[in-house]
Parts: sequence; structure tokens; C-alpha cells
Amino acid sequence: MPNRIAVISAAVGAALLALSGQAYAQATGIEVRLSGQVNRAIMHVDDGEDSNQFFVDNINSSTRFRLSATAPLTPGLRLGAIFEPEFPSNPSNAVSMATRDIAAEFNERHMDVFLEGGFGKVSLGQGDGAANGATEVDLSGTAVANWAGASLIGGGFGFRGDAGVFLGPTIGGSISNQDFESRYDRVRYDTPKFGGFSLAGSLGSSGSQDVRELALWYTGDLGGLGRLAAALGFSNQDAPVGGTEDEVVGGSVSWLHGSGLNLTLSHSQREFGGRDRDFLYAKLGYKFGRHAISLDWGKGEDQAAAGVESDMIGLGYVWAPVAWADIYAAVKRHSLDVSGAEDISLFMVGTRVKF
Amino acid sequence: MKALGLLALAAALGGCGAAPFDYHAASEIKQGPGAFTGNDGAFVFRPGQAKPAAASSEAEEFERWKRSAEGSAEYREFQDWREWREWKQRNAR
Repeated sequence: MPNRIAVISAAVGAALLALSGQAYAQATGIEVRLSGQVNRAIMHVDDGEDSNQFFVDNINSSTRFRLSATAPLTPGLRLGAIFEPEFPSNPSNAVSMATRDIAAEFNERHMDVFLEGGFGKVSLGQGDGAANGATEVDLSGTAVANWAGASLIGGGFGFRGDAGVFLGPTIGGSISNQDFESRYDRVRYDTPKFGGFSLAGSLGSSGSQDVRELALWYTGDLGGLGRLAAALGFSNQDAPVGGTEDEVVGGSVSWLHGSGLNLTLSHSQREFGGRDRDFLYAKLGYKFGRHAISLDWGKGEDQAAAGVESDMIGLGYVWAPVAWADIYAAVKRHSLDVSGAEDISLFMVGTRVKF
Repeated sequence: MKALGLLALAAALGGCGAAPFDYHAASEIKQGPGAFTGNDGAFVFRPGQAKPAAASSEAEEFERWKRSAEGSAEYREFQDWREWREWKQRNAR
């Protein structure tokens, strides 16, 4: 009898040891990470009639935090989740002469689960559409100050005429980079990289309408010729009742030479509301040490109204004295091709601190 | 069509044997260290790892000891010899 008890005890002990070993193997792979950033700036705006200062959250890369968790399911297969809201107070793309203060509120960015392995990556939930960012590829190092998303700084300001009256069009409504459907609730698949290329597709809903996106992404280290990144995207959103389909085709390419010299180009074309709306953007920059500077130009055609053009020219500078902080300045001038329209000038200094 | 031109340019240059790299969108949280989080760049939790980690470090410590001079057969023989010398001195009186 004692022998039988000893055998059973040994068997139970061995089983518990095996189970605890398995639990340990699973437990060791789980990693939960909490990170975030604060990006605040002072912006001075002169719309030709009025001028004022604004304390804004820079929407080029807004204040936010991120909680992410990943764990191996089996060898070569990982399951993960991302929870990332933003919390911008006085968003730089929404303040205006009439509305200088906008209370902060949490906005969803990523509420996403994903499975990744040798087959690629499948994501489910609120997150980037397959083409989100495809018009914004940028290796200049100055994107936090000035980039293709030209309307994210000062987008809420309206153009005025000679007599000081608002003409109607705003910066945001006249020179958007039309970067597809941004983030929405979707299922997305990304292929593995093949020679630097990867393909992504997503299906979901935004604004209560079905959305589908496709994008081709590319990165390549060209050795002595520097680095190149590019993307090409397509999105289509169903028409609401009484409305029209919303379709965007666009892409961008950015080249960073080893010397620090860099060039970025972006273009998008949106077919919506019975009108083709164009966006063109070019940036020439230079990176040296912890500094980066760039000159950029953008143009929106037929966005505010048929036949109406809007131009932008700007200068951006970013200093990253430490890896977790950017101190930046940007100056730009927006013009509307309408008789008597005053230019809008913006100057901004700020800092982005990662914690 | 201009966008296609951009991608064609990328593909043409990409065909020159370029190695892919991880592109990080500038609008996302920066990669690398954080102001309060050090080199990890994030507060990192590894649930359920504390106990196994201790067992793991003990095992590693044992391995290090085995590989060290103190863990060698020669060292143990030397210790035996020292003990024998002390025993011999004590018993000589």
C-alpha cells in the first residue's frame, strides 16, 4: 500500500512538474508594454485680418498613450493586442480665430488584436486601413514639423477676402492630402515582405458605409545610394443614401541619401461628390547629426470647390537632442486661388516628448 | 497615374539588390528610449515570469559555477588537499 501511494505521489508530482513547465513556457513569452508621448506647441497665426497665439496639440503626431501585449501561441505564431487612444487638447487642425480652446477628449486610434507568423499578419478591430499613411511616407526627419499632411497644422483656419469677411474655404477643406480612410473598424491582412515589397488589404466600415482598401508598401536600403521607402494605395467607400462613392488613389515616395539629403513626393486623387480632387506635395530636406531641416510645397486642386486651387509653402526644422525628444519649429504660408483672398501665415514651435 | 510613376521609380531602384528595412511612420510614437522608461522605451511587464526567472537565474548561476575555476575537478582536489593538510597539522600535535 505505501508503495502504491509513493508511486501515485510520484506520478502526480511529475504531472504537476510537467504542467508547471508548460505554464512557464507560455508565461515567459507574454509581454505587456506601456508607452506614450506628449506633443505640445505654441502656434501663431495671421490670416491677413486677425492674428493670435494658440496653445495646441500637434496633430502631426498627437498626444497619446499605448498599451500593447504580445505572446507566443506556438513556435512562430504570435498573438497580440494594441490599445492606443489619443488625448489632444486644442488640436492643431481644429482651432480657429473663433475657437481658440477645444477641450481634450479621448479618441480611439488603435483597439486592435492581431495574429502574426510566417504567413504575414491578420489584424481585427479599430486600426489603420491597409492604405492609411500611403501618401505620408517620409524619411526626412522633419515630419513632426511639416509633412504631406499639410492641413493638420492650421486646418481649421478660414481664408478671408479683402474686406475681412470669411470666404468659406478653410485650409483643411482646400489642401488635404486625402490619405484614404485613415483608421476604422476592419479586418486587415499584410503579406510578409518579398524583396522589400509587401501587400496589404482591409475590409471594414467607416461612417456607416462599407470600406475596402489595398496598398503596396516598399522599403529598400540601397547601400551607398541611401534608403528608399514608398507606398501606393487605393480606397473605396460605398455611397450613403443620396450620396456618392468616395474613391482615392495615391502614393508617396521618400528617398534619404547617406549624406543626409532627402527628397519626398506625394500625390493623391480623390473622386467624390462628382468631382476629382487632386493633391500634390514635394519636400527637399537635409539631415545632419541630430538636426533636420526641410523646405516643402503642396497644392490642392478642386478640393474646396471646382476650379479652386490652394497652395502651401513651408519650412520645418527638428532638433532631437536626445532620442526621446524632438524640439521643432515650422513656418508656412497658405494661399487660395480666389480673387481677393488673403494668405494665411502660421508659425509654430513645440516639442514632442516620448515617455 | 503619377502615383504609379512613384511606385515604378521605387521598384526600379528596389531592383538594384536593395535590402528591406523596417519603416516607422513619423506620426507614430517614436521608437527607442523614453524619458521615464529608459532604454526599453516602455514600461514592460512580463506576467508570471518572476518565479521561473529566479529558477532560471539559479540554473544559470550553477552553469557559471561549473564553468569557473571553482567548479573544476582540479579546484575540488586542491580544496581536499588543503583540508587534508589542516587535518594532518591538527593530528600531529
